[in-house]
Amino acid sequence: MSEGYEPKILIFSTEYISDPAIDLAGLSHKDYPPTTAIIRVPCSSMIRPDYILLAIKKGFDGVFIAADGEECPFRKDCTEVTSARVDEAIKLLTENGIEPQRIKMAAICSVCTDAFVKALREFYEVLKKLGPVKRDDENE
Amino acid sequence: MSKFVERQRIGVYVCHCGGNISDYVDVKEVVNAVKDYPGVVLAKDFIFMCSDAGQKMIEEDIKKHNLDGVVVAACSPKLHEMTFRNVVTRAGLNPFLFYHVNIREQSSWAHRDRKYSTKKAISHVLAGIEYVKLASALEKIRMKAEKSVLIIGGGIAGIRAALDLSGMGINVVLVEKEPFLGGRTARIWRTHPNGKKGVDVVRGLINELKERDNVVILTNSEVTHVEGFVGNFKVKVHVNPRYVIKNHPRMKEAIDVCPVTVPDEFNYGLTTRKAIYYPYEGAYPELPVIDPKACTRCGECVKIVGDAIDLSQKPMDLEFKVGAIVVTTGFKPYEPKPGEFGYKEYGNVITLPVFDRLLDLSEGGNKLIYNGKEINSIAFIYCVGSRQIPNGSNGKVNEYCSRYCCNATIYRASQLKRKYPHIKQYHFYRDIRTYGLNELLYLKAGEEGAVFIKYPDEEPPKVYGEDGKLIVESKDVVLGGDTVRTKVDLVVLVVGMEPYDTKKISDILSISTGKGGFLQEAHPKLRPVETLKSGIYIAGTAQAPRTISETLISASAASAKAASMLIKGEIELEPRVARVDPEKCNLSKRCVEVCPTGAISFKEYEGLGTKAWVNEAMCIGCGACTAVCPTEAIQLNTLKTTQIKRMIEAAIKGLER
Repeated sequence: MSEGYEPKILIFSTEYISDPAIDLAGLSHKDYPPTTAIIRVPCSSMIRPDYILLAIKKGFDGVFIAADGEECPFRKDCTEVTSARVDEAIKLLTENGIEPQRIKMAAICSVCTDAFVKALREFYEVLKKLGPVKRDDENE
Repeated sequence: MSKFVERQRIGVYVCHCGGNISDYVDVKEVVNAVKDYPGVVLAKDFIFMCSDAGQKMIEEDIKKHNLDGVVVAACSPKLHEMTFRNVVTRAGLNPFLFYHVNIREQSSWAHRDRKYSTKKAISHVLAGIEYVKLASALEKIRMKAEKSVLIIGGGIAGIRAALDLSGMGINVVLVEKEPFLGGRTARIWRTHPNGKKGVDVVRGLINELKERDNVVILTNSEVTHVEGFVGNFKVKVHVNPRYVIKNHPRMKEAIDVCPVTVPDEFNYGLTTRKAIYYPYEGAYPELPVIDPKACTRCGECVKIVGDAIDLSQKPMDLEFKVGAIVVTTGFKPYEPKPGEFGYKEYGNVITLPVFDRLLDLSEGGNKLIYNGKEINSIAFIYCVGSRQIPNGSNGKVNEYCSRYCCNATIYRASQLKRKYPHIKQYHFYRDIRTYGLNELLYLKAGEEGAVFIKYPDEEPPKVYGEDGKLIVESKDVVLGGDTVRTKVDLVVLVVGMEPYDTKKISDILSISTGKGGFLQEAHPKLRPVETLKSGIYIAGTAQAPRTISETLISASAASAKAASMLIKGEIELEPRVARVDPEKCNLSKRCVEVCPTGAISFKEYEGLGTKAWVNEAMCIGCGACTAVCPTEAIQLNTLKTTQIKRMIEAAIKGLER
């Protein structure tokens, strides 16, 4: 792939838990890839698998789910339920000829700034190795 | 169902945050990128959108341009989402036709390259516009709230909060881990400014508390579990047995007859106590406790007071429903490491809290005796365990100032002078921080003859023994760095404050800890006693090092905040609930399986038959049902599936610019 390839990542954050952690990453000037866009949702269990397929089809190179984990204010089984959606998404991506590595879920607690930055940087490197998404309708 | 019409008159407002945003995001570029975007009628940038002028501008624009949606791109929504919702409401627009876009914490502060942070900001703003286009006007949901508050920690902050809340007609459950109320304050010798003893200060408040019939006090107890949300928390409290179940006229004899003697932790081991004991005269509850670790179950006490003592008493687990929680779990004094300023190396090196107990126990005489020896000279060493300088090898250090210590030590200097005028005092300090009115104390102590020696930051004094005396050796900054050597009878280490078990309480309550491990407020200026978890408040030294007065102020503030939320008996909640479009529902029932609160069931819809239905009072708005519905019939009304899809499509456009 070309030297200047910068994967674009869609991040789903959760209002009460991972969004504050991502805020804290900015507040403490912790460096993470800037080619990212963040959409906040109440709870990571509400992410539909088709959002992930849509994101990749529309131009994102990967989707990072900053999940609530154990801190979830809504449900104790948040990780389990979110994981079930991620598994469905992996299946959906595979069916559409997209590498399942383009989706990454990590539990990010409300102060887990370092965990977020580390996981996102690693994901960025994975995507960089994968290279751009092969899209049928390249010039859509 | 009427056809949904997209918002077509949206105003976009991009904040500079006085440079916090505009230094790293090209705000003009953001405005240019969105001003001609479909649905946007105007886009503006402004130096401080949250200022009166900024708010007024938005309010006037809404009216003048007949805006039907507003996007503000500024700081984190945690700070100002409410501010702008109120602005929108004042202008007559439904507050849910507004979206708060974060371009500070998640853009300008996060990324140093202006090109990238600008792109990211544009991406977020475009997504925000798409959100607003499909947003629905909503009304807040009113819910019944428990008019009761759980206070965790029965020190002076918890007692103050209990009094304030109870006085406002709110029921209180006060839970204290130790067998008696009063916390650290009860151990203080004499308090500034009127010289009242710590025990008397606490006792005065407790006497008031005893009169209240809407306060439940649980000592020897710990909160083990908390669930629920603001207005409706369910808490579990574990009550350890006290073994003394009621009072008895011969209780004193029962204590005297106890054959077990152990060091008294209330006096930091300066005295001893029995296995059945009161920590001090006038302690509350007015019922002694039996220390199960020390007690041998010999039964001598039972022979005297009979069924007033039950050595087989079992612990209890209680459950309460409360509307809010105030956390006042306090601090612990810094424990110097062995060898730090001669601590534990020389018998006559003690900490300030221990010194306080010594002074209290010595009241009445005109000599101060420690370790059997009369004390005629004392060296105080300041900033022990505070303002520590990390040097790479000393591990985690306390870099903060503990705030109370200069004031406390200098007040003691004055009191000492009054009670023991013959004792010479040497104060080895780094900086004196007797801020505010306390500066007068410092001036007075100097006039009264206390000697102050300023030691260099990087070179604290050395303490060593010589001919049975203690020597404190230090450079004196004021004397240009000359070395001063002083022989003293006692060295008092002025130790700082450390958070006490905040990790445990933050885990139970899912609230955050911040600098130095103290509990963290939602915002130091905008929400100083609230946490990010709605309905949970913090006060006192659990939050930061503080003096008693400051602790009391924060306790009253937290109480007022909690009460203002609950006093009406109902609270307003976000109208974030799931709703079913029965025409689309194909009865997959997947939503029912995934709902964490059992809010979804089925009902008959006219002409459509049985379809899914959401009980809005039970729905907590997680949205999990919306992720599994095969026909997208169930939607979160504050974040519909169509909104998220359009936000995704818009966001990538921003990044691809």
